[in-house]
Amino acid sequence: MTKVYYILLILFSLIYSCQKIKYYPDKDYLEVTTMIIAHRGNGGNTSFQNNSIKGAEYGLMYADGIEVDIQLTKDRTIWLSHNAELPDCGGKSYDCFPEVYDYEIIELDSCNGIEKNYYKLEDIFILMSTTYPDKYITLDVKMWGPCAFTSVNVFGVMKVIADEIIKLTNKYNMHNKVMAESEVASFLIYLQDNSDGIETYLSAWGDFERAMQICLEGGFNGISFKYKFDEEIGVEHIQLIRKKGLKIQLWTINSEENIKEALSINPDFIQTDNLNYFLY
Amino acid sequence: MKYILLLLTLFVFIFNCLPQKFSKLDLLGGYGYYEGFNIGAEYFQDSNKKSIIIGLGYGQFNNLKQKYIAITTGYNLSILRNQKNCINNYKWWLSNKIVLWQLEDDYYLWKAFSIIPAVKRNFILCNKIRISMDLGPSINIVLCNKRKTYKEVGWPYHVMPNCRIMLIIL
Repeated sequence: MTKVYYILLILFSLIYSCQKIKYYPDKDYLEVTTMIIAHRGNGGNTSFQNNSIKGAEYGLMYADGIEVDIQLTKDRTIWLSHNAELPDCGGKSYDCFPEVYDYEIIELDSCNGIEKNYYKLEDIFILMSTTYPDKYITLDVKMWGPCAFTSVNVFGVMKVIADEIIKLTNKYNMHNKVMAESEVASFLIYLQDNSDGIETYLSAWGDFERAMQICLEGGFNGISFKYKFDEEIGVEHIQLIRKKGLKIQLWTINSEENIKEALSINPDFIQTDNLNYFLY
Repeated sequence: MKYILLLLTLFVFIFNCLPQKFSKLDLLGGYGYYEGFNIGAEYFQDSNKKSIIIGLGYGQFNNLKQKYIAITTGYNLSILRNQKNCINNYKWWLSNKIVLWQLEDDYYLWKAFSIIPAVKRNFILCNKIRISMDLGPSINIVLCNKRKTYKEVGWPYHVMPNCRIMLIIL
């Protein structure tokens, strides 16, 4: 009987040892037209504040979609902000978004002066669902260093962000118009496992090969790739990921020369702070 | 980070083995379905209760070519029992192996390292010849990769079973 176990064990090992490399299957190759995304909502138009309603309205009016940065407060409200850290005002320290309540953000906003600095993501979703239902929004969810012990569970907070994105998408029927990009794969996995019609993109500052493999392994929709940062990207890269069923966003492409180059390789999305280039 | 892990693991292995007094040397050669053909030398120490193997390997499976260098430390399970100091008594071993690979297929060239903890069983054929079989998971970490063509996307599996049969000449 022992010999039988040995033989079965060896057979099992032989069968499963023969493939060292995992190759990913090809998908239907789809031709696409590159879409332009206004970075931080306003697409670089300094007449409007970054990550603001007015800026987003401008971006939505002239681009195919907008990109905004988001943060979460203790009230589980998603606000638009690039940084998690908040400034001090009136002698009060506000630490960072995960450590404050909504009333403190409003308090900080009024403390800063008449100009409104902080907006809720829900306001953008209302604007898009009522006025720009065909446009896209990509939500940049960044990893941050915890500013206090109570927000040390960064991954837990990111799951709450995912839950709130799902709630808003369902509430305003924004399916297939919302994309989320993050360098945190566990956040993207949680989001895609618990949502329908929200695309997930892995943010990458280089190492295209590894990013592509993580996306294929995790079942993400694509890569959000920093253009000309650590690694050049060409038409062969784009064709390869499209053959594997992935999409690609390139960011942040601003100079005329880089925009022309990026358009020539035909990515799915280009994020830009030079929206003017596409207007005139 | 991956290189730090590799250096740390190598350091632990070498530190574990070098201060010992070697007492015996075997030559060995074998074939592993995961590892391919391999040859090496096995040194015994501490009255044959521990060993270190340094080996080289080569294999070709379908379109994948591989070559590697491996360092293995072995610990006889009889170390826990008061047995007579005779090599024929030592049949079951635990081993830890580090393998530095170069893998190459039509699309990529990878450099990787694997940590392979395994259980080993020696079968004594006669006084001078043994057959050894080991089995365990191979935990693989890619150190670097170079793409040769843009025709395919692949990546080495992170964990694979490994089974090897060796002929040992004492």
